[in-house]
Amino acid sequence: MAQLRRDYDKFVEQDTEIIVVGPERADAFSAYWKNHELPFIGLPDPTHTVLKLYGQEVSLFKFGRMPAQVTMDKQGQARFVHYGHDATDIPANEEILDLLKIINEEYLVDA
Amino acid sequence: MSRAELNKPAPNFTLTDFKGQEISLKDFQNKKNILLVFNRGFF
Repeated sequence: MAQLRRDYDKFVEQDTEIIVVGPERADAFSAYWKNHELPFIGLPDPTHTVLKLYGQEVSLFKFGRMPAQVTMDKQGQARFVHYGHDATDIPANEEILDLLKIINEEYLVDA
Repeated sequence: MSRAELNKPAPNFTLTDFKGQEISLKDFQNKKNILLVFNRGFF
């Protein structure tokens, strides 16, 4: 999440909100957000409702949950879907930001 | 297990953020793009 924090302003420039969902409880989220001064939305999901809805994978052999990301446009369509195969399998911000630029250009044309 | 599918509507949900505010995905429609991140955990 440090990478996302570093580039947060670039995501804001692309009219994008970052939402982080995790299995921890609200107090753990609150402490982590405060410690790391995170600017984005943090959603505790201790009952795993959304984690299951989006199919975040859990690997017993790889020590826990695999990272996953979904980028969606203003119409709510999933435009980039990434399910990580290990803990470090996370798309580069640049890749997502490039896609967001294209999405925004399309939105302007359609409007 | 369900999964988000490319170029299809992302499943809507509502959760309460750690500050107590209710957040629905659909509230952002026609306003913002969304990067939804499923974290590994904080530890």
